Amino acid sequence: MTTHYEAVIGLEVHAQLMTRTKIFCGCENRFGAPPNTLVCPVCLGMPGVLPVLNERAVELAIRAGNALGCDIRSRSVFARKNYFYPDLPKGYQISQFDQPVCEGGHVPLGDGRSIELTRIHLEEDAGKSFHPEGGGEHSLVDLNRCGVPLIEIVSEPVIRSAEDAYSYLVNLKRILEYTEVCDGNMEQGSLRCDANVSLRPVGTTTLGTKTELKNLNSFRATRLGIEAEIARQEKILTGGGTIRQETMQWDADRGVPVPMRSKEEAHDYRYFPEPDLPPLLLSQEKLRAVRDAMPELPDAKRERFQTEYGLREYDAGVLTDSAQLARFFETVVKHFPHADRAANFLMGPYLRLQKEQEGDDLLPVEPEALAQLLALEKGGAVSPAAGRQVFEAMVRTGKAPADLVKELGLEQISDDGALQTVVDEVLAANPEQVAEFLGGKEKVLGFLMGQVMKATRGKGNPGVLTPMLRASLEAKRG
Amino acid sequence: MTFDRSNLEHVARLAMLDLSDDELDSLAKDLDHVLSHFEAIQKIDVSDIDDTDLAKTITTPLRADTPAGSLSNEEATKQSARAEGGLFVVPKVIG
Repeated sequence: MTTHYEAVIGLEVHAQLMTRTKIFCGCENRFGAPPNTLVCPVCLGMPGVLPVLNERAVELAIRAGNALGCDIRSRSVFARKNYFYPDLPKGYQISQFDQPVCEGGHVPLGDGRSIELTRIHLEEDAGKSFHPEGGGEHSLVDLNRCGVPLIEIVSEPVIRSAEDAYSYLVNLKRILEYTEVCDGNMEQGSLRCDANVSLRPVGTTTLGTKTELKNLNSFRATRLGIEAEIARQEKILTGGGTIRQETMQWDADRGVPVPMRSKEEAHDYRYFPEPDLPPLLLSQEKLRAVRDAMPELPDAKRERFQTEYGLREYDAGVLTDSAQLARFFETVVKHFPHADRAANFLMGPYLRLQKEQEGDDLLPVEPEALAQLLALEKGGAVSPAAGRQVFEAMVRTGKAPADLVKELGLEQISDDGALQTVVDEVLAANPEQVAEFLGGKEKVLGFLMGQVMKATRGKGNPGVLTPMLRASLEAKRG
Repeated sequence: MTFDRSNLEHVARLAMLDLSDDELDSLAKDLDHVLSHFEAIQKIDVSDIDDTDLAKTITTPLRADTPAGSLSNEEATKQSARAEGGLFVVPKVIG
């Protein structure tokens, strides 16, 4: 009889906080600066310096805790996690251990279920090391990231599938982005995920030996990596083998988890309370102030979009799916106060183009510019069909919509004389369809309208053309 | 408790300390002595004594989230043994 196994997965997500400065010093917290230009004696770990905690980092950690339903501890303690690695110049990371700032809480999976959290704690990021190909006996270290504020969000080991892990990460990222705790940029490493994976026979409750899977730096990697690790462990167990507790690295190119060279005794971190930082005490007033400053959460925003803008539930759901898109929509509507048209455009041409470009990021168009385009369309200067062409050109060139309308020669034709000529030509060229219409086939009107729009290259004003086409057809009844 | 040579070897390895045989012997003895001292302190019953007032009321000072400038790359790297292209050069850390 074969044993069936179930997976037990716990996720550790590191999220860089959207502060202006690092957690313990006044160096800027910014991605992409030239190497080792955002460093100072504190984050370089020079002797004799003292860390001073960034108030904003504390507020953002509490905010994340509020958004995820955690208990916020009125007293939390920083701890030293000791290990040697060149990207950690002090020889220890300041983290939190047995008294983290947040405990409990949960991440909703979006289908009514949710995953319980163990804790959220504050800590500092390490620097970045590079291992140049053929770089001989050396590695290179950039310490700009060293001391960037992080929260580590630790789930209980209650996730049962790679699919749920994926969904957990999607929903967590959305909440962190919404609350402006973290920008969620997985490519730049501002959101990183490690997974603890073990298997156990279905029906048992003892945890099996786990492996830690690192380098899951995209949603896709998280799903594929965990699936592959589950399969690897299952194969070993069904073959009668045992799992070795080790750290694996997901190799996205080869699609396999590979064991990392085990750092000897790497997990003996010898935590102790950080002597350079007294405990963090949070007053009720402080907690209230952070709660009062909480940005709107996804569910609340979806409801508000329905009541305030009169959107359908589905549309409100699509537009509030990402905080960025919701903000973009609201800015468009501020400059173009016709929410229904703005929503239709975003859900139609906008998201279609975004999808074609295979990105989750917003298109390179300012919301004000899109509002201008929609106003031109509403005012009759450009037809909806031509508007889509203008929009594509805006994305491509970044030029203003009014200029592009002229440049592309897409001014809407509303002139009766010019449009009548086009209608007459189309009817003359399609005698069969004209006959069908006269015979009672109303549907043909759509086809003929399409031909007319094509002949005007999308520039004809449909408001003028539709009645004109019908009148011209009716006139043929004689 | 007894703190012996093997405990010391373990801790020394974690701390990346290269200790000679003589040092291992004498330090193990010293540390064992220090630990038994604390063991004696640990035996004192403090269950009915409150935390000190200080530990309850002093919170860590907080800093406003305002950039305060950084070192230049030259300043940051000039004290290192070796730097290249603005990066610190260290012995290879991954296989």
